[in-house]
Amino acid sequence: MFREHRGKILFVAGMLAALGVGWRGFPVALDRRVPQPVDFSHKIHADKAGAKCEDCHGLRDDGTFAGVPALDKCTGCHAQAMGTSAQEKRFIDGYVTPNREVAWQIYSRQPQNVYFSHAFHVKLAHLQCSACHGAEGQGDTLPPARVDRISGYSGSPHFQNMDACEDCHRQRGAANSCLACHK
Amino acid sequence: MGFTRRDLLKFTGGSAAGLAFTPVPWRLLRDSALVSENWPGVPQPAQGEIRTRYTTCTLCPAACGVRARCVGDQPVSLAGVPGHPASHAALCTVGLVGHHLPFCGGRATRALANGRAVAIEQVLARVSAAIAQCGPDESVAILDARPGRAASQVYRRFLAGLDNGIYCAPPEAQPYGPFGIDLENTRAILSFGVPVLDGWLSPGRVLANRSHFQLIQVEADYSRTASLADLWVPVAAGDAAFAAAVAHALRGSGEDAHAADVARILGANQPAIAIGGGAGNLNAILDSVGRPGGFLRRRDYAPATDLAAVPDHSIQVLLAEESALPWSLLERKLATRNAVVVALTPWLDGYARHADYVIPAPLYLESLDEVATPAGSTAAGFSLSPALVAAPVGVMAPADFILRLAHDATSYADVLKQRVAALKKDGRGTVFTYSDAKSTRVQDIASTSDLWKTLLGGAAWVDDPVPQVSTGFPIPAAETGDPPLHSSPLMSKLERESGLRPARRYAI
Amino acid sequence: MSATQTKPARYGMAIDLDRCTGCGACMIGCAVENNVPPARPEATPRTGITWMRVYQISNGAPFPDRRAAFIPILCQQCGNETPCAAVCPQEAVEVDPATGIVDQMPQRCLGCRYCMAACPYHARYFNWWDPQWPPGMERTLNPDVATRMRGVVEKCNFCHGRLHAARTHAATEGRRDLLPGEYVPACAEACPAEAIVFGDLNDAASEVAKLARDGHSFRILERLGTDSKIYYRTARAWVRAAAEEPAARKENDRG
Repeated sequence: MFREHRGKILFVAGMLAALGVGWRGFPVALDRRVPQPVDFSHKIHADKAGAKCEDCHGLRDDGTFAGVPALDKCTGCHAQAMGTSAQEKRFIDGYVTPNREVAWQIYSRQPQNVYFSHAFHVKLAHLQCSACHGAEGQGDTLPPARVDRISGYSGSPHFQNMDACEDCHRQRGAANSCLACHK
Repeated sequence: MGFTRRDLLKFTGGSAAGLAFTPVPWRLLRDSALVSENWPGVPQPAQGEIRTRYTTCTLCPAACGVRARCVGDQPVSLAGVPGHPASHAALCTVGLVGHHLPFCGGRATRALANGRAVAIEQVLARVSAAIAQCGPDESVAILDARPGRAASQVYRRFLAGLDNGIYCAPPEAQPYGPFGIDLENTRAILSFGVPVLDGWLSPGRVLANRSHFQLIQVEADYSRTASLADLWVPVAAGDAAFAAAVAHALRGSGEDAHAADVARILGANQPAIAIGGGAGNLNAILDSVGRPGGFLRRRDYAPATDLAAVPDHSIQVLLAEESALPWSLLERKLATRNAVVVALTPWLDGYARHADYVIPAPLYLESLDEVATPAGSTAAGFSLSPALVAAPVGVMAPADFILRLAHDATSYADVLKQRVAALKKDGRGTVFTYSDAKSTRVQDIASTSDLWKTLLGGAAWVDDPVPQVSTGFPIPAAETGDPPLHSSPLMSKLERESGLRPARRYAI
Repeated sequence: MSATQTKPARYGMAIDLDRCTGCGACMIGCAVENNVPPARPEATPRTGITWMRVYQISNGAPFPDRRAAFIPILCQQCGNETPCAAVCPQEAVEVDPATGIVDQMPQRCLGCRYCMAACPYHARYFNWWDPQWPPGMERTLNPDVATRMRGVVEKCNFCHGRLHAARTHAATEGRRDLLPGEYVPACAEACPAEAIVFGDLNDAASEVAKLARDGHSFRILERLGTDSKIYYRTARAWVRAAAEEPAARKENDRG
């Protein structure tokens, strides 16, 4: 039977192989996994320090988003070691003492031509951080960032392109013009 | 049976068909578009916290207030300061890109002696020696680009300590000597070649008042001001015969038709003033001195020596700031043998090309600087010009160089602090703060260090008005030397110190 | 900017030609704000990029009665059958319903320049070369505006980076609406003569709406019916006549 339908079987085999590579292999291979330089635990800071998202990731007075905090936010508490973990020691030796900014990987980094305002989404639309950032702020470790090998942009499914943004905007009747989100 | 080419083609065909049902082609298409958006050659702006900082522009004597929008510490755009007493809310076309100046090529970054890099100490030693060797007929001159500053006092004190010091300044820096112009109340301006709408005083102030005055432009060229004036008289600005004809017409006599037009407009729109080298004694006839709408005297004016009065070939050592005058005017005053020229300038062009020694000066925005009374202001003024960016290593402020030459251990920053202390002690005037457009009397400021901090955050000190008398207005000397200023003083200075030349003149 | 907020705005300008001295501060302010690269040495008046461009016209009288007027031309933000939006094969031009701004998306543009042919005001400019700044000057780029690459068209978009910044600032105070003066494009802010008034034409109480309605205001090439949002004002009849029928003489090319 194989001999008879050899062509079709090979064709179908090719299709299945392509489907497998395309759906499973390709997304994994396309993205580089870049680990974070410091092994930071959101959970410890939330539980032990009672920190909320906006304590470090807040809005400035002019409405711009502070993003990932600069070193001085960390040294506010971690000028000296606060615990006994090896990760904290590595952080203090590698960054606090030489006063070196941490080169954090940003999961949601957008291209230069995208304009996103946290102020709109937090203050006007009253979204929770987890609505877009998922469980990022609750983990004990920081997962490695997924960076697209070809374009260099974020490989995180939620932040790769406009789809997630447009879906939500459409559902809520928010602005959908180019001007709304592009510089 | 082996694996044949046909098998391979079938398999490949199946893969291709299968791929169409996967994200692969769409993702690759999108990624290729994204890659093409990010050619390595296209610069991306740096991101960072946006801050507003304040300073004062030092590029020309108008001394406009500056509001800088900064990303981190780097200014990315400049704007005027609303309510500023001298400049209103405006900057000129050059002031708007002052923050680009450090990136223009041709910067002097090392001290030079005859084109070779040397240490500043060597230049100090050689210049001191040259000064010491000056004989009784050989003068030491300082050309101060921006007279009236605390730095200017440093220059004067240094020259006063010599037997033969001459302090000079370009006339356009304090164009009316101890007088300012009450532009807010003027109703007619008779301008002999002055670029009133194109680089005179501060554009914000002039244009805010434009609708209040009739403008008569006497000028041979069809300049921008001439093309926008209410009356353009196409006569050379220095034409003494025309000024005399206008004087006759104002007294009711004379036959010149143009002069009659001018007199008619001036008569119907009082108070009127006459400005420019050709104005002669017209201001006396117009009675514009010491009256509202005319020339009002202010305090704190100390005249400089008119370069025309310096004998030719008498300057042995010249220390010149920036490129404040046409070189040909200076050249003929230099001694014929062994004259020593020191250029205190940020640029390799301009005076540096003619100088024996070049001391690299910091640029606008690079170091703590000051401005004196804004040109045309009817009250004395003072502002600090705080630095917004880092200066290149090795630059030295001209005032610091002169202080070192004088063996004075004070720094220029200390000199500025002393000036502010003197302001507080005198207790006169008000301070206008740029950030909130409020004015506070100096007496109500608690201490010198408070006044210093206020000025350092961006502020302008404005003196109180002074009682006026209608006495003589100094007749300005006729302009000599070539080329004549055909555009604003700021543009002329830019042309001298850079390779820039104006775009082709319009002969429409 | 959302359907859940107040009524849409129609941003426009009133430019007083009797105040304009042709100094070009608006051109410079625009270039600084929008990361427009310095012109290459080989650029000409037709290939340089000047989103805001000041033209000079004259009254044609013999000397010494010849007088000039200066006309700043920028994208007129056409509201009716916007020519550039109608011809773009890429849908890279969109008329924003919330603000009336005709937005050019350089990221979608493929550089066919059909829009440049369609624009009656010659207000669109093409990137003939990769943008290049003198070494170090890239540090002065404005982060609120994306840089463009070679091969795309760009034009005035009423400094929508400033619109974004103003709306974000308003959002921190819980406001969806902007106060008058909170959003001002770079050209209007830079003009030393305060000749450019900017605001919401839909807001009858705004200064720009009042100026647009009075008898001294007119639009350029009104007969084309583009419903431009830029109103020019002058008391001089000859300036107004030139706006209706600009002559194709060399003097109109400011260069």
